[in-house]
Amino acid sequence: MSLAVGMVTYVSSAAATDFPTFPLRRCAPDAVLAGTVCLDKFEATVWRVPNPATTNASLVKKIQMGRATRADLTAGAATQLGTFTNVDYAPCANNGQTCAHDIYAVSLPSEIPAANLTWFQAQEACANARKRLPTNAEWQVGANGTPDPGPDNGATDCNTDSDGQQSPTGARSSCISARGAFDMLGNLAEWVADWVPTSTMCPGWASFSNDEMCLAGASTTANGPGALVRGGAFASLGGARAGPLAVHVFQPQHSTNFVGFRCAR
Amino acid sequence: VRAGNVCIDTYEASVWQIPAANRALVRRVQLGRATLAELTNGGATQVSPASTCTPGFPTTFPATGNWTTPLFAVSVAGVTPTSCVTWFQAEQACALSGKRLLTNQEWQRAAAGTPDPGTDDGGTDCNVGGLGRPLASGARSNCESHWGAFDMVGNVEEWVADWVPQSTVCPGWGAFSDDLMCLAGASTTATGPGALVRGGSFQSFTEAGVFALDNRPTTTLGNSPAVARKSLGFRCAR
Repeated sequence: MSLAVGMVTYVSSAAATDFPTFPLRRCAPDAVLAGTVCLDKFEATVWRVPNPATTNASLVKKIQMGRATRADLTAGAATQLGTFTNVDYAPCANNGQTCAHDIYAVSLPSEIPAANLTWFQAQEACANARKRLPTNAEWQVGANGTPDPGPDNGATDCNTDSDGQQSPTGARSSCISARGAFDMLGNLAEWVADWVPTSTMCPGWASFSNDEMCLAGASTTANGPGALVRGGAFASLGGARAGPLAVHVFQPQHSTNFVGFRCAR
Repeated sequence: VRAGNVCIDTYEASVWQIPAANRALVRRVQLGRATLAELTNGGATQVSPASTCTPGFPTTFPATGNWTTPLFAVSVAGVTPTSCVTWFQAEQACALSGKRLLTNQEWQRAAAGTPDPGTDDGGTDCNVGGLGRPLASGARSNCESHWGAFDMVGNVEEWVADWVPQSTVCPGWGAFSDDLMCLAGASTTATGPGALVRGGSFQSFTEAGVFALDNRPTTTLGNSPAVARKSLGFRCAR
């Protein structure tokens, strides 16, 4: 047996004891199994938790275990951030440099998901919850199977055209993917991990899909890379342009009232 | 160090040749427990330290990463990290230690909070300019992120996993940051993809920082994954 073969054998036996074991079989109650990852069931709500290292250490632990409820957050005097037009993440700055142990992303039903935050703030909120932004490929698996009727009936369909703002998470009962994630289409468009050059145009998917497709025409002048945003939103990226194939490119330092995120682990 | 749901190496990687007979040392490396003393006492030798890039990578671990004799990436303080390493070699050296390159997102997370004064006091600040050469990992005591990772800014710039089209220009971040930003103007002629490089190096001055993002065609190979240069190293994660 060569050294290389022996080493590979050893690495796999170490994985069984020291590191997460794969394939994943089960996720925390706030997430659904989507291929090789646990993807949050809902678009993220963001909370500021006071005293995270002392009186609220157990609340932080519950968040990190994916078991925190609205009642737990209220009991801990946590304040919800980023609802509708609120931009109240400070001192967690747009560049994400001051956000450790400050803002926490939580996947909860029937809450207003957080918008108006940059890619940097979104990934810090995930990281404090011991999660991360999903990759583009992971997001796609999580979204597949969500009905995409194009128009929006204002009740059960994904919120792409009717409310003019984000609906509470999971409020649109038909807007669920094959893996059980809600609001992958419409409501808030969602940051994913991947960076690319900033796009300059949106040629669409042609006959493949009526969803928007803006990954084209790399800018030579944009002051920032581009980060992918998926699924479309309630408004500016809504209507028929929203869908499981919708892909937009925003600079990671940008924030707006129709872009939010969800976490994975 | 733990950063969210991944473990990011505390230090920039040094790559080591370990005698084939010393299976116990390989095991310590793969468990993330090997010390500098264990490496040197165990007959291991460092490959391509950034100070000189000598001795370079052996022919058994070529630029393509198609190795026939393994080398191992290790996160230890007190040695100059390895540079003059291609993306392919870096990725393989991480994998042989049971690790992988960080994604761009993970790198950004682990770097958060690293002080970026723009200047370099020559003592405790990140090694971004003035000295003009790389230092031993962890030598600059203030150059630590909120997550506890050292030298994310400056010293050697770092390969991350992501590939994109090769860039042609560096418009910067505008008012957001004075750090380098070269993810722009996808080449239509480059004969290779581009791989992202983060953090800036010992010669980047104000352009180094937690937002520094390079993908510049600096050689005939551009910033493709096949490039190797003295200022460019890596770190691993798992």
